[in-house]
Amino acid sequence: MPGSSMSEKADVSVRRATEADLPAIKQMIHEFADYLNAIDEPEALDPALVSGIEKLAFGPTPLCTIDIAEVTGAPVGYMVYFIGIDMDGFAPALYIADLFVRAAWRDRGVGRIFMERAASITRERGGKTLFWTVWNKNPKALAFYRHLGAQPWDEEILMRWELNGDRP
Amino acid sequence: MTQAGNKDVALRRATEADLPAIKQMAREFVDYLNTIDEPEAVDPAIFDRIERLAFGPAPLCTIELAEIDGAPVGYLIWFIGVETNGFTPALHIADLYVRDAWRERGIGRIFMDRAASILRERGGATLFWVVWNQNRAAIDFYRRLGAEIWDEAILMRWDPARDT
Repeated sequence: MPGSSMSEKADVSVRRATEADLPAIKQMIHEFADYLNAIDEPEALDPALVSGIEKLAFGPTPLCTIDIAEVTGAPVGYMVYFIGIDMDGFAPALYIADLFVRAAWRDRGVGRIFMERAASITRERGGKTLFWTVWNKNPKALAFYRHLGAQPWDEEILMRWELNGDRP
Repeated sequence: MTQAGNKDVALRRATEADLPAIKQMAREFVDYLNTIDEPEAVDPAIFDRIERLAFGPAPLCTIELAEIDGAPVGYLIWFIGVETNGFTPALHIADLYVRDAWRERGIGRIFMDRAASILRERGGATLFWVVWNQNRAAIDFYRRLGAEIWDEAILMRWDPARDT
């Protein structure tokens, strides 16, 4: 609203992405990789891997959902999430796989809108806990999430097992 | 059938009929964790929620049961999500438990191999789970398996209702 205290906030709308949004989503995935690569340890992103998002989100048995943020019809960010469970409360839990806001639209509340939407989806499913990971070299993201009220889950150690790794 | 020590272990997908055994083992798991450090009272009612999560109209997880001579000796709870490094399916292990009397006989490994094979069938290659940092025996077991502590990633948890 012009002239209001919200004038620095973008007029953002968030909606469920469809297959028609794939070009925009893939473009933003590449921007996300570029952003992370600018922080440390640049790693080339294989465009063939990015194509995998189509099957994950829009295949016959989707494994995740993508929400897209738009300002005046132009994509400014995306969030990828899926529903799993939390064994502390034996309840549904929401896992955020990716959250990205384009450079020109950062610090205008778009990330917060995504997170609040994720929280409300979790509640609708009967859950109360959201989980995600942040690269330890991305203090800006960490600060954003902490500001939101999220905490590093220090009592737990996150394990990863790569089947195509060094195990014979 | 797979050998665990000198006993045959059978793994199968759990059904609602297994709920009493699963709940009993989930309680044993909590008791086990409570012997390690900082015992924490758990509301017994929460175990009833397993039913809806695993066997409701829209299940959010799958439970595998290990049996020896028809008796339950452990369970594995998993669900499929995605990982966005390679944009592939990922398997998340929510719980893995082997009963006291049957530990160190390879049953945990049999469960993990089952989880790996379920994921491969889905076209994925990355499994994730969390281990309580006080549970050294579990961490050692997973490392022997070939899993790594993913310490470049900070695991975040947000319980929005707790803040407001």
